[in-house]
Amino acid sequence: MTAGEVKRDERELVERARNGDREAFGDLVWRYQDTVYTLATRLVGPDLAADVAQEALIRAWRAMPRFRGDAAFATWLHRITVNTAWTLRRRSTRHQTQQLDEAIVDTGLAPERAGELAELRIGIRRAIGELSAGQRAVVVLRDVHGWSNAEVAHELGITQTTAKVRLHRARRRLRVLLEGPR
Amino acid sequence: MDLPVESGGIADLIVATGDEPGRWSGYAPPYLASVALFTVAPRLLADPVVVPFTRSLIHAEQSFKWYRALEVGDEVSVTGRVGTVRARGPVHLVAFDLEARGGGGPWLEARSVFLLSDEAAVAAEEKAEPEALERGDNDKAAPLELPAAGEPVEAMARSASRADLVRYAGATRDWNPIHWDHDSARRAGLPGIVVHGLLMVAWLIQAGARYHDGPAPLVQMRARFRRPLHPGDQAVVGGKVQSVGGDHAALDLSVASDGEALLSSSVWVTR
Repeated sequence: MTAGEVKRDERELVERARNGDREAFGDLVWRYQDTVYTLATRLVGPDLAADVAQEALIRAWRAMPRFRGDAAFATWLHRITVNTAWTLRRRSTRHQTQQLDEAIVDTGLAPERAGELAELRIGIRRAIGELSAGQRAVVVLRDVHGWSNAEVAHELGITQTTAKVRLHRARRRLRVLLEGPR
Repeated sequence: MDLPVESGGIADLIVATGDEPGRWSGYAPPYLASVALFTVAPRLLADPVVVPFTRSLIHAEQSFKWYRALEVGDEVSVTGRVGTVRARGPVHLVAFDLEARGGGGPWLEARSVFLLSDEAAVAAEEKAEPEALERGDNDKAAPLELPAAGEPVEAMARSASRADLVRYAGATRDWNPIHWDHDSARRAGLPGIVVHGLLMVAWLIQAGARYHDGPAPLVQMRARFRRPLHPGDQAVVGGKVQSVGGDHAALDLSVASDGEALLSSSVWVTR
């Protein structure tokens, strides 16, 4: 399937799901559940990630008739995941940022290279876990998921200037955490 | 709960799923996982409270992760728990987790996830009940060379008769009547009797196991149930190699009938 066909196929699925077609929604869940889970893990850590991902899918199904298609479906679903993450984290007393390093995926690379990358990943996740919740949200959405400053600001209910300042501070803090003090 | 790995039970399971009796000599096929599931899960999966939900299933999937092969004579200890029950208005999410140990360590992890709705689904049109022994073709699950990434896997025909479904129910203890009683299936909103979802998962496992000779051919799999298959109807397992790594290959496999996908899956095969 070409990229154009994938887009058309997704538009059709979204339209059918908006009209209550369960199989179409199931197709979208099958397609996006891993990215939703990964985003949730980055935002709240592995202990709460499954809860966030599941809750986000329920919310997405219920909100589907109101999805207008202003943004791509993936972006819309990610926003629901972010909102869900904040809501559940506020409710949860289980959240432990230091657990972010537990979800390491198999890279399929040579063992020594995979080992280096895994170590780096653990380091980055630990460092992200050290950030404040506000800084972590901005850096994950902006640097990991490639959202624009405007999208991050809109999603988190802050001004673009605040988003930029938080991102700047978060990156500076990450640099210190990863390289150690100079 | 304990699950003894016995040669008689294994033989019944192999015949009921249309597999090759010689393929697993002395070992349990990986789809013994479905027996483990029904050792602890019948109260959840065949519960009269849960079964009506299947009429308005939004999404259902099953994942398995294997850690070792089991030999005939091993004792397996199975622990299951309802991991999540989440309700938001008419929408429910139920997740069931299972861990099993046997052969000197962990054998299996499994997770079943159902996204369900209280809202009634449209009742399906009735389908005539087939003869008890009526079924389509079943290909031999013969060993094959793994194709390169991006290449298709060899298609494998599969079909089950009503008699096969009764045999499978006996082998797995999945006695949900929608798999053997037409009226019960109709009352559940189905066109008629449907093939067990986990029997079709066994077909996916058999298709993947063609690419590794040993007793532990699969690392893990995840399957999504899309549509039911009726006994007597012809199905085909097909798909392609998604990627090939050092330790395993990832296959995208599906069970399809009349050109429509009934199950989609990702299957990781040992290399």
